[in-house]
Amino acid sequence: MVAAKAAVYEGTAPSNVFTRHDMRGDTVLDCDVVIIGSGAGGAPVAAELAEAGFDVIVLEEGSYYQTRDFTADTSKMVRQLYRDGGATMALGTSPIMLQEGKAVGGSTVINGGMSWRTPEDILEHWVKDARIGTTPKEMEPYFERVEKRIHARVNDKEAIGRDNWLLKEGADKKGWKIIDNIRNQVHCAGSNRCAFGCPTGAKQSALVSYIPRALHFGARVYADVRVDKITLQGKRATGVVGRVALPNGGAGAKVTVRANLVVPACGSLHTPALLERSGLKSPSGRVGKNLTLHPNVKMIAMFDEDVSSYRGVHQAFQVREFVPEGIGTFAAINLPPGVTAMSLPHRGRVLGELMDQYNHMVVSGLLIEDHTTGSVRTIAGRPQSFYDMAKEDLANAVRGLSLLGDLWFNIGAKKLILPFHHAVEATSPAELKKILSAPIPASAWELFTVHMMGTCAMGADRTASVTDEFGMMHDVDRLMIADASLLPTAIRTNPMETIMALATRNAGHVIDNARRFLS
Amino acid sequence: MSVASLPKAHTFSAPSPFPTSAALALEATPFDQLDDIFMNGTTPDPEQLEGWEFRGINRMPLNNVPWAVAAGIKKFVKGFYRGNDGRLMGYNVPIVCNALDGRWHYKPSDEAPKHWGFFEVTPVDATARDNKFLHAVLLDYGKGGNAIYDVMRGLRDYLVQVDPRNPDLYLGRAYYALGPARLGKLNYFILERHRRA
Amino acid sequence: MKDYPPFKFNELSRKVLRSLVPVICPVEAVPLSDAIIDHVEATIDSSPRLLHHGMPAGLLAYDLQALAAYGQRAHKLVGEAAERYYTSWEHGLTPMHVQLARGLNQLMSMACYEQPEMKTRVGFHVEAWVEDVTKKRLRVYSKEAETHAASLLAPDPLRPGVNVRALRKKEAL
Repeated sequence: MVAAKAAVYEGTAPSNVFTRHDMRGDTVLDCDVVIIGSGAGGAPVAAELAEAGFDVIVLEEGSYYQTRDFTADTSKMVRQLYRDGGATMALGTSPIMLQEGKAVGGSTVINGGMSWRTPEDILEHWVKDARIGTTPKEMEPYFERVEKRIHARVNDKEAIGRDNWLLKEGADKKGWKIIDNIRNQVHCAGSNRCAFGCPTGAKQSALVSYIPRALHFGARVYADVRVDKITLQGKRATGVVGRVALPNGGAGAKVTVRANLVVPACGSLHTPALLERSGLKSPSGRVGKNLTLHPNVKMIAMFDEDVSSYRGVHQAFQVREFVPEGIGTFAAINLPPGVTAMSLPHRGRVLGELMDQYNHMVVSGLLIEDHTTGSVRTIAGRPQSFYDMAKEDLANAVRGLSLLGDLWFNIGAKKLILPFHHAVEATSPAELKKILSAPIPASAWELFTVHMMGTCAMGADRTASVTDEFGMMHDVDRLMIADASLLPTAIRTNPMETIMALATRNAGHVIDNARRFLS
Repeated sequence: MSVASLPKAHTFSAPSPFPTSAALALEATPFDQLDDIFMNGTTPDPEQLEGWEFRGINRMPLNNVPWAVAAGIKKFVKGFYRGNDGRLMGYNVPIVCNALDGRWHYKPSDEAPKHWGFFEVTPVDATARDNKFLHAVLLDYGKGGNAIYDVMRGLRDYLVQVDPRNPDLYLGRAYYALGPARLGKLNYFILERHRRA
Repeated sequence: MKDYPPFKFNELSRKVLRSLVPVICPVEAVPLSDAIIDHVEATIDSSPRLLHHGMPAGLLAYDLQALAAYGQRAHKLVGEAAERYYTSWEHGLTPMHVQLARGLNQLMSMACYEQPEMKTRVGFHVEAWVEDVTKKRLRVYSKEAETHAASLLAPDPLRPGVNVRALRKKEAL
């Protein structure tokens, strides 16, 4: 089997998308604004600035794919679309699997498309604590604009699968608050392949929304370019240098971009690493600190009935009853058989017996609003995250599992598989209670996340934050960060829309001060 | 001490001849806290400086040792004016080192003060050698037209406005240029609006 | 300019992995051993380069350590002995033992259930489903999809009236 290859077909990529095939020799480019990363942060900045007349270049380490490249071959998609083939981990007492997209469109290509505004109390908290102007009222126009662009809507009822209806039935029976999920989709038909590139084009990832818009207004996208560092003249960012990323991890021709404004938008792990590789330090010493993750735990419920949960939209509902308790949300998610098997600690015959029941499984997830903060350190030029879940967060996870288990048993689940490395199963509420009331070592948890945030947090205080309220790095000229690393705290909900809204706001700041960035 | 806890100074339409409690509080603030206040200052508006003289107080490290008083530089005045070539310039005036909260008496006399230690005032250029604090303005004594043998030529001061709501109070941080090297931070100084230049 | 060759397991690693298929995967998957190992190889290929060296080294250690307890190398163990030996790593003395066993379990389980035969076995007919819903979406909602696609290219400036092209021209004059 061959490793991930860019799937751009001759002559079909837009004329201002360039890939490794177009960059055989060293390349030097000039522009007003160079954006590193094409996901939820980079793509909106590119679209807004290109429309305002800036000459914009977007550099993306991943390859350029189109909707037709997204097939049902899960592992091929993972290898192509996920950073490090999905094998990234935060180290700690219990390692946490981190999933990040690496393709034009960034993580929006592989996320579930949940489009939620930042909770108002969190925005108010930022105003008070980080002293930034993100009041709900100030953010409102940016959220509205993003929602229009990505078509944030509730799902069509007929596209919702049985697993999600079961979740709703369970929550309704308990009298818990359950809400329709809002997702960036135009009549999602429920292929349930969000995490592997939407094969129908319904999900409005940056790849099919902001990037086409940016291209339409003249931006240029260079895929397969790995940026090594930001170039500096004194404390002014003047561009970037990088290399063409070759298919097997090698480095190809040199790519130099000279720009009046440099916008790192590589996510909470790679933006701090890029700053560090470039020798950029924050007076606060907070680059790479303050990592929050929204750790997820999953629980598999087995039913007698055939659920076939791969048929239907991804996360149609969210149980929000316990948000005030810090437990975050519950949702039903489908994982394809390979990923399900990988996530089970079982093996051999037992694994086979369980997997034979694949269509009777409902995989549910629980998102924790974390109080823990971790860090990202740059080791040999690469980011490595460290994160030890706080006792308080682990206690919330236990409580969440207990509640979620109750929900499933209450509507007839026969068995639950719990997220512990030692393969714990519960076949009754009493058994579940017994398991969860016993001490669970931190190392036993099987955790994962797709929400990495906060490592270049914004704030007015130069001694406590990395950027100002518009992502402009304190004490560095012409460098504006636009990704999840800006978030001062965890936000308790899916961060895509928050990132997009903040990026749009940042772009507005650049347009408002356009003269500064024209020479 | 946080900026918010500093008492507000008078508006500069009728400045007091005495240092305000805000300025005196800054003078008594520990050095590391001054670092925080300086870092969180805002960029001064040159128009708010031009045409005015400011009372200055030097805040040396180890403030209990009265070396600034002994050297006669504890109190001073800085004035700002627009040069004929359009550049914003500034000068220093030596001051009698009486009580810190006493009047500022110019040397050699209030009627004929000595102007010396001239400097140019510019926004900090991120690409220049003196780019330590981008949120400050630079008082560059090397470009003030001082005599070639004048030791003042080596001074490089960064100036920030302490509180964005108060254009009367500023905090400066001094460095000394020795070729390409910069020695510092030598000291902080507090500037407070004093009188029309 | 430098690229690396695609990651390939050496013969010993393949032997060890082949011996692990009956331990980690269900018995029905044993005839698919080569395809499973190929899949693991492809997964490692797209993983961080550290793993390109770490995995063969880990497999070598796994193979050799069996000599002490069983008098033969792990890739030669079958049945109960292979099972017991793997279990001893799952509950191993060092985190390295545990992590390697866990990692192998994850990689091989995934590879196993990514095989078309195994997907069919568990009733995962995703290709047909995707084709079905794609057609349905195009049939019912193509107009709305097109309307949104058109809106994505329509002018809607963030700061109406500001265009830096005009500004640039003006400044150049």
